[in-house]
Amino acid sequence: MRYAIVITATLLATLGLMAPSLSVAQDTEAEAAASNPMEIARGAQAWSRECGRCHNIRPPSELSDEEWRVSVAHMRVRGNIPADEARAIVAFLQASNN
Amino acid sequence: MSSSKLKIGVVSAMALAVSLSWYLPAYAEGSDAVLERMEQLEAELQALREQVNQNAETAEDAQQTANNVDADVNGGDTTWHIAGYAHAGAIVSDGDTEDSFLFGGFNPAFHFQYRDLVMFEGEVEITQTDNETNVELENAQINLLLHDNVTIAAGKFYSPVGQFQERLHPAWINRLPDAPAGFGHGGIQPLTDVGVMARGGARISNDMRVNYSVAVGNGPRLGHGGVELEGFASDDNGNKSVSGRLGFFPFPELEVGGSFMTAELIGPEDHETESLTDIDFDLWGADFAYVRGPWRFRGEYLTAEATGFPAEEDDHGPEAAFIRAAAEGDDDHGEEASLAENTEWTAWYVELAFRMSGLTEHSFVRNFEPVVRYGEYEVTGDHEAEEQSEDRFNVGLNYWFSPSIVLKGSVEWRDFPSDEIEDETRTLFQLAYGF
Ligand code: HEC
Repeated sequence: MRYAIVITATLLATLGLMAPSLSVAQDTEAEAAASNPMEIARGAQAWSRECGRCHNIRPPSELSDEEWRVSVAHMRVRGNIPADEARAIVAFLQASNN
Repeated sequence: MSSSKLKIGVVSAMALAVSLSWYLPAYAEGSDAVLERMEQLEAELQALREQVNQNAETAEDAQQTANNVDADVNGGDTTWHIAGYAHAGAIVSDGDTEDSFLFGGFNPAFHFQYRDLVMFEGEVEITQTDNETNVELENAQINLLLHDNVTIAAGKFYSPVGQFQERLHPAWINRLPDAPAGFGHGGIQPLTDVGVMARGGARISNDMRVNYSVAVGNGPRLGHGGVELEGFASDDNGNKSVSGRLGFFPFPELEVGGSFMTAELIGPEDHETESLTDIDFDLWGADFAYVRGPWRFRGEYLTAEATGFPAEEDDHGPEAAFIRAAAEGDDDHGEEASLAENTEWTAWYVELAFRMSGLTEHSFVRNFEPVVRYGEYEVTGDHEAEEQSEDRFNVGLNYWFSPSIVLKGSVEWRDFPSDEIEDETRTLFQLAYGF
C-alpha cells in the first residue's frame, strides 16, 4: 500500500514535470540551436570536457546526425550531463561529422 | 510551379483567349450577338477561375499532407541506433587455470529515442560456455527525459553505485582485460537492479558540477557464494533496496563520488524461532577519477556488511554448513553455498593509465598505453566466503587501433590470503571492439 502511494505520487509529479516538454516547440528550438555558431562552440567545449571521461573520446565522424542525437541522449543519462550541455554537444557533433 | 503562378498563367491565357474571340467574330456578326457571346464567355471565364482556385486549394492540401507524412516517417519523432561491443581473449596461467582461448562475449545494444522526451536503452550479453550459449539481459531501461537536470529511468538498470560497473565494465572501456578483485560478477559492487531511478546533473559554476543518481529497486538476494547483487524480476521479501551516488567535480578533470546501498535479505531459518531471519545489507563507497590529456587515474573503495544471521555456538561447525545448505535449497553441502554468518566485505583498487600520445607523435608508438592497477578484496565472517579474499596486481600494455578498438595484454599476480587456495600468476590477452 505504502509503495502504491509512493509510486502514484511519483507518476503524478512526473507527468507534471513532463507537460511543458510535450510541446513540439522544444524540438524546433533544438533545431534552431543546431545551426547557431555560438551553440556549436559551446558544444565543442562541453564535448571535450565530458565525452572523454569514461572512455576515449569518440570522433564526430563515427555517427550520422540522427545517431548522434540518440547516442548523446544515452550518454546524457549515463554521464548525468545537464541537458542544455548535451544539446550543445549534439549541435557540435552534427556540425562536425561530415 | 507554385499554385499562384499557375493561377496567373491560366487566368492570363483565358483573358487572351477571351479578347481574341471577342474581336475576331465581331466583324462578322451584329452587336447583339457580340454582347451575348461576351456574357457567355464571361460566365465561362468565371467558372474556370473557380475551378483554378479549387485546384490550387487541393494542391496546397496535398502538400500539407505530404509534409506531415514525411515528418512522421522520416526521423521526425523517433530515431534509433544500434551499438554494443564484443571481445575475445586468451589466458595463460601457472596456477589451476588451464591455458585457454576465451570467447569473452558479444553485447548488442539498442537505443531508441522519441523526440527529446523518451529514450530506451537495452543491452543483452551473449556468452558461451563449454556446451551452451547464454543470453542475459544486461539492462533494459526506459528513460524519461523530464527536465534538463532530471531523468527518470524505469526497468532494469546498471547499479549507480561506484564507477566500475556503470561506467567502465565494457571491454572497450576497461583499461585491463578483467575487473579488479571484488568488482564485476561475484564481487561486492552491485551490478544491476530492477526498479526506478532518478538521476541528473547540474552545473554550479563554469568549472564545478554535481551529479546524482538515486534508485529504488527489488534489491539483492542471498544466493550462490554470498549476496547476489543483481536485478531480480520480482522482490522476494517486499523490502526495497535504496541505493545511489553523489558525484562532484571541483574542476572539470576531477570527479569524486560517494555511494551507498541499503537493503534487506531473506536469511536462513533461525532454529529457536523456526522462522526465516531478516538480514540487513548495508554498503557504502567512495570513488575518484582524474582524466587529463594522456593520463587516466582512478580508484574506488567499497565496504559492505550483512548482519542479523542467527547466532551459532560453533560458527564454522557442521551446524553452519547445515544452515548454509538449507538456505541454498540443496543437501549437497556444495562449495558454492550461501552465507551463514554475519559477513563484511571490503574492496578497493587504484589504476593508472598513460597514453603514449602524451610523449610522442610517432604514428605507431602513440597508440600504446601502459597501465598498472592494484586492488584488494577482503571478506571476513563467513568461513567459506572468506576464501574469495584476494590481492590483485596488474601490469598491462594496450594498443589502441581506434578510440574503441583495443588489444590488451596484462600480467596479473593473484595472492589469496586463504591457505586453501594457491597463489597464481597469469597472463591475459584481450581484443575488444566497441561499436
Ligand atoms: C559516465 C561515463 C561516460 C561519459 C561521461 C560518456 N560516456 Fe559514452 N559510454 C559510456 C559507457 C559505459 C558506454 C557503453 C554503454 C553500454 O555498453 O552500456 C558508452 C558508449 C558510448 C558510445 C557507443 C554507442 C552507445 O551509445 O552506446 C558512444 C558513441 C559514446 N559513448 C559517446 C559519448 C559521448 C559523445 C559522450 C559525451 C556526451 C560520452 N560518451 C560520455 C560511458 C560514458
